[in-house]
Amino acid sequence: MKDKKTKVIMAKVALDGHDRGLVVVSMWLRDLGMEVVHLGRYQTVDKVVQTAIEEDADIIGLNFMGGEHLYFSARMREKMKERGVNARLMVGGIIPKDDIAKLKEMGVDAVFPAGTPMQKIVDSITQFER
Amino acid sequence: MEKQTTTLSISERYFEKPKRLKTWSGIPLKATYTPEDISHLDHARDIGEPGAFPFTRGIHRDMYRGRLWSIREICGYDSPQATNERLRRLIAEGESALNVIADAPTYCAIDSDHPLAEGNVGLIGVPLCSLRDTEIMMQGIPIDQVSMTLSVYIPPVLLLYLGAAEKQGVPLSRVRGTMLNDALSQSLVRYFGPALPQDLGVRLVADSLIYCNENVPLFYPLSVGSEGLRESGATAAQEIAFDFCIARQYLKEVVRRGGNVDEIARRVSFTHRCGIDIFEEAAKFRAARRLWASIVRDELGAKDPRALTYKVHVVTKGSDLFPQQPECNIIRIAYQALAAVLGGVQSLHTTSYDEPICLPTEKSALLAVRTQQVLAYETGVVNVADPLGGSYYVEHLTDQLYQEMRQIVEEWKEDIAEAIESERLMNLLQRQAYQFQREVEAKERLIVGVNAFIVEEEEEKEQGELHKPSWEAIKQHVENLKELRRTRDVRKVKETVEALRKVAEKKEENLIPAAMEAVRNYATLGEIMGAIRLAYGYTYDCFDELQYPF
Repeated sequence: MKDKKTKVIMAKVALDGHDRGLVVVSMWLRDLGMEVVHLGRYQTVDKVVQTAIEEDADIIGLNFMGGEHLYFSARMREKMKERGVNARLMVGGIIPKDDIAKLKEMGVDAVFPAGTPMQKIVDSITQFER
Repeated sequence: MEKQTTTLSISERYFEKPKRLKTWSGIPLKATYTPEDISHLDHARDIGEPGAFPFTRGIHRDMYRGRLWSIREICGYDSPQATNERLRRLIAEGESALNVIADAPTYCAIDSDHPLAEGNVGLIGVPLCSLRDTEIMMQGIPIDQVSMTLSVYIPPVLLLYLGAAEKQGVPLSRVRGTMLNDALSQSLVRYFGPALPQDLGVRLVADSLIYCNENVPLFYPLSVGSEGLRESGATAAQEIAFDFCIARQYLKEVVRRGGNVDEIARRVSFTHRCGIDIFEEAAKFRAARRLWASIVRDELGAKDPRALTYKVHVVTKGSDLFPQQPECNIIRIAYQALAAVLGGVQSLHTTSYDEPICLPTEKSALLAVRTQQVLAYETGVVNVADPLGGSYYVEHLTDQLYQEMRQIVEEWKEDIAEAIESERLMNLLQRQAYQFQREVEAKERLIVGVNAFIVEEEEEKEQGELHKPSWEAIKQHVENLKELRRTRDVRKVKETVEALRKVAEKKEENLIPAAMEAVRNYATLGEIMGAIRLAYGYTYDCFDELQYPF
């Protein structure tokens, strides 16, 4: 186990702002004692990665609702690689099953389609920490 | 996954009792309601008859016998061309009105070739950048024959549509429809970008109301509501009450600018959600009618009965739908639609059952139309106005919701704009959304397939046919826009956009005619909104990537 609290950056990149899911997950993780940097909506990939570096984050969480997940997750992965960010990347929202494998292939560590129980998300994060 | 309802043995299940004895929004309920529960109500004052003040029982005397509700499915895919094909298909399938949703860049009032638009164009709706796009979208669909809902908040999109009507030779006096256009709701939920600051948004809404009252008299240029409140976590009563606070704000602004409240209030409608709690939702619409009539009459001083009616387009609530065992959503949507119609609504968009998984496929969109048709033609709900009227339970619940809404409307009387700006209201909704999730996780609320009756093998199962964007069509649309920029009369675009900026600076003047002129000359949405933003001292581009080109 680590000494410091798990630090999570939560954000929406792209232009869709449906953020109920993102907000609820942020509140949930905070209540469990994690340190959550809730960047919220209308972020760019650059800004999220920059924040992850500044905050020395363990996890980046992104949410997508409008079908932009493949395009922007790929860019996020590239930028993380380019800037040498080792944080885990988790992606949630409206995501068809077909795309889960594609997201994992491009290096997304965990995918949580809408309706995923919170416990499942928390379990995944615990796995990361091992 | 242990104990509780989900793991009862068959013998236990045989004697099972429901556990959550509250409405969806949390109002505790009794086992029975009797005449005593409604003895405090005065029939003439609080309920009345359909078509008469206070309109609790409906806005028309004969309700659906006089006219069915509009079957108005939302549509918007890939490109104006692709959307045109889908609209024609929906018409062929028996829709009675149209409803177009724009894509995220259009919602942000940026054009499809904006640097931040890439990867967003044509995904959640149709990109509408200029008159050229609305012309293509409406090709072969006579605008004077259809009622169109523009599910967009950016006011100039209305002008792109009116421009297309002119191109078809349709006089504006014959254009029917509705537009969301609700800048305050948009700045509350900020689902789509920071394009519309409050001051500018309220001006544009007021301008549209005044302009349409004079020039497009069959059009409802403001439908207060949006998906935001309810889907973000509001209760049934909050959804209505907060939106009434917002609607009141617009009407006061129009009156301040010299508008006639009897004329303008007639042109205001609402867009609300319908959840799955059948009686609470039906009662909600009944209570809303009663409250709106009293606000418009007693507070705003309107006298014309047509100005006092709460007219509502309803969308079945998407946050009640789940990706697990998605076929269950077909059933949920049917109940939501039933609740809306029992509540006497004017227009309905039943969502597609696959929306928690992807954007609707052609097949799921068709099923949504069929859901409404079964309701309209087979179930018999259309025969009698306000069929729930007189039920001890429903009348009691209607009054209870009315009182709760009334209290919120009083409490938030003066400061709704501030509550939105400071995110005080949003924080309240977010806490409620969080609470909802807690109740789901604790199984205090049971949701079939999600926290009860889970099919373990489901994880492995294929999801079947899914919507895929057509990247070809999207690319073609962006090419068209670039072509338009090359071929339009740039001098005229510049002239009209500059003129618009000057008019926009004069805050008491109506800027719609000037914006309309820019639209006619193929100025883009980004250019038009940019010029208006500049006039208000904001940056040309709300994302600060582009400079004013003229």
